[in-house]
Amino acid sequence: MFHSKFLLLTKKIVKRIAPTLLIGGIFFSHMASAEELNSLDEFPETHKTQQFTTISLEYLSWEELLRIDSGSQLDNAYANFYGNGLSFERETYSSLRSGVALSAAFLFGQANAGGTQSVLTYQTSFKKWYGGMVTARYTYRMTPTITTSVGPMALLRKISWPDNGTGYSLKSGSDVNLGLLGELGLRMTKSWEARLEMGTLAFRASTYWSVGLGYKY
Amino acid sequence: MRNNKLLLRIISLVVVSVLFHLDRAQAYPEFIAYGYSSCLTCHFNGEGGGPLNDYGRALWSAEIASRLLYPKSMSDEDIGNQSGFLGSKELPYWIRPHIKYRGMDMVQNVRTHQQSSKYYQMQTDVGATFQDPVGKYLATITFGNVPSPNEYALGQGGIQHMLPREYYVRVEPIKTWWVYAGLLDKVYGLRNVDHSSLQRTHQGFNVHSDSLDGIDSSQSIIIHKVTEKWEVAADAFFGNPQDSADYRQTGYSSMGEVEVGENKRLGASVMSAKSTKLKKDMAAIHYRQQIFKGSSLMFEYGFIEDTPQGSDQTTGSYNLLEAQVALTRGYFWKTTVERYNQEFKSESPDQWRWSTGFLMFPMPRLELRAELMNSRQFSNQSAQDDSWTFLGQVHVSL
Repeated sequence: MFHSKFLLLTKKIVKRIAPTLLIGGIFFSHMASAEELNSLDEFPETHKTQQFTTISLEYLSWEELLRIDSGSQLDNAYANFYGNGLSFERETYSSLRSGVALSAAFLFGQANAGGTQSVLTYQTSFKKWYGGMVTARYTYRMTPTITTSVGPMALLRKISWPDNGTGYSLKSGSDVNLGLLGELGLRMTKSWEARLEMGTLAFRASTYWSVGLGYKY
Repeated sequence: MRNNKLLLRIISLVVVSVLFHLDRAQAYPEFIAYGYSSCLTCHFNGEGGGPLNDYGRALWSAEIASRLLYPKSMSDEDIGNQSGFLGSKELPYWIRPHIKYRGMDMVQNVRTHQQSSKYYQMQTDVGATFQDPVGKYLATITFGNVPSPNEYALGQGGIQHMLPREYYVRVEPIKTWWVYAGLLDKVYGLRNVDHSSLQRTHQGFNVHSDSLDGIDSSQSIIIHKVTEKWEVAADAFFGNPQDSADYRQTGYSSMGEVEVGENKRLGASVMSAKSTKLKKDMAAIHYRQQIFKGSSLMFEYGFIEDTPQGSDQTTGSYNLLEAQVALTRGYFWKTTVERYNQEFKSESPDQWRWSTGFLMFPMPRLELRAELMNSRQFSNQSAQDDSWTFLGQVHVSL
């Protein structure tokens, strides 16, 4: 009995973990050698301007305020956006530690809205959206493998909330939103970087965050 | 719609998995950042957690904690030599006493009308370790206050008084093979020190008795093989005597870790536990690495299958990502991203937590934490407002 239970558990684990292990295998096979990594122990001795390009995949999310208008009554609710982003970034360092990063990203995902309001009944889920984001950030290299950056962001997104037959007028956040973004980049190898971002949006929206993996060259 | 969510989940999994790929230990697994990859280096318990050995005490004082309170004329070695229980006064080799206190102030719903604050007495421990001159035979006992489930708003019952929280004997019968027997933490995954994390909470490693999810420690027999490049541990556990009979979990778990590069470790864990109240099966993979001296990145991704008594089985997943960045000696910037979903179903909400703050060792024997945490939930039932929580923690270890 113990044996069959163990087999069943193993089968479940293999079935569920296998895809991740496969991806992991690909990732680790591309990990830089120890020698290559040691080259990141110190800042390079150069007076030339250094430039890096990073292509990254991100999982991201932010929150918007949803306004529900029935014509005679108004109510407020929340909308949670989540999805993925493909970003292209160019970093330029004129000194060893500080520089500028410019990035552009294509974003897509889904959003859920409503369900907490007290006056008007409305709720919708898995509504698709797409958009883009551009940032310009001041970057500071704390070490050769750790970079922090901060700067303005502009988030553009397209979504059309369905009225679900209620006739309500629905509007959340803003198609173009501005904010402030902070990022932490941790170079796991010479080429691969873990990226964590957190920011705040100005127009009827709040906290933005993302986690991602970037390929740097 | 379900397909869309599935696709989104797969893409996200790819992003998160590829990247953060994928350790345990309730000690400080992030201290791989200093090149210490095995918990046995600093703890009597090779799986991490519990009292520090002489080397661990010296290391905390001489390498990790800030030395601002010490005069420049004092060397790190001198500071390390003062790290004993009685400072620089040397105790007989056979006894190593320890006293630990950990408390947390949690302010929930920060800057809202619902703002509330509660102080949790997490750990009040006193104990001693007895050993032979070379540490081949060792026994440790720790008495501590066990909080009731009510303390954590998880129902009534349970116990709340000083009890032996941890006791075990450790033997090294063959070089690099260690055997533990007694009441100690179950072997599984990254021993994240934060018991309120989604990872620890849903893994069932609570600090109080009579909890449906389970308590972290259990009477166990553990076999642990440790080499320079890899280690593996197997744990057969028989329940925690502090739990009522219905909550007492019996089962097995295992954890293995292998060095995949300099100061990079990849690991995996499995656990199967059963009590009258709950059957729990888990599997996880983890990864941790040094990013720079003092800075690290670690990740754990796992599955949790729960079958509560009289209820349907649920299978869900979680992930934990922690980035620790050394600012200066003794001071770290810590960012943690966590996700938990009870079931692989579109109607089961994804819970996310994003926290950032500081981990500080302003002096040897003292640890302070201050973190701000954003919680967000993706649910097809309702879109909730974000909630913000402030967590302040103090840890004194003598």
